[in-house]
Amino acid sequence: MCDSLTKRKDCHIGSPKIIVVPWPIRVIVVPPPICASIESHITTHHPEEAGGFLDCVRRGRRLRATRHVPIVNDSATPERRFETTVDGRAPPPPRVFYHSHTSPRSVSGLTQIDERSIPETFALVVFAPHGNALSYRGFKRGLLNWQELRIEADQTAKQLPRL
Amino acid sequence: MSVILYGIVGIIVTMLGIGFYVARKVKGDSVNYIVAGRGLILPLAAATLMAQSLDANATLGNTDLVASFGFWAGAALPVGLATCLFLTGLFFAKPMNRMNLTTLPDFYRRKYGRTAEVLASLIMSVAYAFLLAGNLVAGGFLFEIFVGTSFQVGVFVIAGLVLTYTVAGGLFSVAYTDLLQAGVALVGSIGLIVFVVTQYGITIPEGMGPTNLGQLTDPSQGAYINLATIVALGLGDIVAIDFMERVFAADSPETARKACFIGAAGTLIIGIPFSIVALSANPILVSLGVETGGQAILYTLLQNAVPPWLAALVIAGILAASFSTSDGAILGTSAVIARNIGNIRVDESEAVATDGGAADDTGNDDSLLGTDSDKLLTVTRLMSIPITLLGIFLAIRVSATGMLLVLAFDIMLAGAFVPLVLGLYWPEMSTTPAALASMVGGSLTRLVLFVLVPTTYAYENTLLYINNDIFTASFDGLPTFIAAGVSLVIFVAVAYATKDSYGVRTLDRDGRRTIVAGGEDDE
Repeated sequence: MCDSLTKRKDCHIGSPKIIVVPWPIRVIVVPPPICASIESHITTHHPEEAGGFLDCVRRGRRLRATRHVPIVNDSATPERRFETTVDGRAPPPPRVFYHSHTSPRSVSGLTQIDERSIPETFALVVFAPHGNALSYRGFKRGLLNWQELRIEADQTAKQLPRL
Repeated sequence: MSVILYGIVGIIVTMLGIGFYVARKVKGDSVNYIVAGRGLILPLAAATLMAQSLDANATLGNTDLVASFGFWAGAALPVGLATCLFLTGLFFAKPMNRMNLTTLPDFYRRKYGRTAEVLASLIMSVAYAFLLAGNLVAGGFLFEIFVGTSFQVGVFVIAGLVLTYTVAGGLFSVAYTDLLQAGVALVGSIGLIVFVVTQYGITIPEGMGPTNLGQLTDPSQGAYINLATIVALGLGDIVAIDFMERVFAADSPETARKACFIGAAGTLIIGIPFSIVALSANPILVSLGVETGGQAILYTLLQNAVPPWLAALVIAGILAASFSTSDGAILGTSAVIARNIGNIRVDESEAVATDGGAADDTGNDDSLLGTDSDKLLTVTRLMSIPITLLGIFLAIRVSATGMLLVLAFDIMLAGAFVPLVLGLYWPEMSTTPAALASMVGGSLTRLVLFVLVPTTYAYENTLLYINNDIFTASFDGLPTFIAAGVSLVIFVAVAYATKDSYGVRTLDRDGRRTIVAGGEDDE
């Protein structure tokens, strides 16, 4: 799915800290090395749901992932749920919480449990019913509901597959 | 130099000495600076809670109100503050200490998100600017009467002294100086009542004593105002940033709880004797042929009816109370502005080591505003300067400091109390929209009632009053309850409306947010 062959658990792309205007985010950019790292994590743990965080920097209306931080699934039913605690493992904001939907019966977007119980501003759902990622869908929590964001791969502005 | 002046100079020098001596414990670490390294042992935690609750404003207000309106009008202040500490110990100290929070708005961020954090921070910061100003006013008048400076010079001197040791030592300096203040205040309070009882006896004017419960039940005797004072302090101060900062700083949840209980007892033990003495103040002064002339009745009593050594002790206690509450207000507000509004976070696991990291072998903290401090420490220290300047400005230029202080604390009760309590004890229903709506709705209700009622806690509303025939002065006191009630109703209504669509942020026992996600919904 991703162009890069990078397969690392903790993938980091360095980027200088700059001050930017906090425009409302419309797009999440997941560069190929990060994307590959996420897919590797999901494939490794399939059929259990996998998840973690993407450390990000703002670029105008875009959030660009710079580091992949996989998190262990603490759920007692890991094939249906991904559960964790937001602690020191989570990178500081801005960040994106991602998790995989691994059942063919799952939706590619947010389920009701996702909408209610992901206490994060940004969420990424990777639909991977057979272990390989078929769809990337990003969301931002608004005051009353979640809004969908576009997921792009690096500077090409090419949208990652969305089902 | 008079004995009283010796007392004032002595307490100032001692407090500065202690404040600067313990400042070396900061060692360039914001956690040391803001919450004393989370290591306050029980005596320190209890003393600092007690000292923070007994401020100069409350002491002078207590005696003036008792002398004018009866026991419960003034005693409502220490009773309300003690109620707050007791309830905090009973329901909040242990869970809040366990969460490893640095400032109170941290809870709003974890439970409700960034917008609620900023909103709570703004409400609390405004309230504490007026608390600081109120204590500078009380200290300024003390300097004017007993030192002979002008009021303005007194305000500047106190603000300057408090600022220096607070900037240097943060909560370490505050806590150790509070220990001294609590001791002096306790001895002074007991000494005063023993002297008055033995020399003059307690004379209770008819209908003004503690047994006249009409002051708490009959609106014509000011019951609404007295009850509102107890409720506003007893519940509203639970969301006080300085109280909670001390709860977070206790070395364990058990210490935090016990410290609150001891602080509550100490507040009553020190505060109630002043109420009893004040009951007899007017008869004593009349018997001595002295008129107060608009001056605080406690000051008049100390100048004319007690020996200088005892007056010096009590005045030292009041001055120390002014110092201790002012330093807590400066520190708490600076930390909230830097961390919660400025969004400067420090990962405690990466904070500068506390084993001497920034301090040299002589113990000097050479990192003040320097590169060895973590960023939160530096900005918190820097923010204390504009906070102090704002307090000085309000103390000198705003005549209605007292009224704005009680209004600000009412707004804290109306805006921040319900989201805290329900966030802790009804977490499965506490959604972010509910908290935000409750904070905005409660605060606005209190502000609207402020401009529609001609008096606020018996202070005439000279700031912004819209003349109307609906709300008279007899309505005074009720806005406190109404605004808090509105906040509660809005919270519950919005929580029910949004619990399914929005969901709640669930915190674990240590106050960390938990994430539950899944590809399949429950059947």
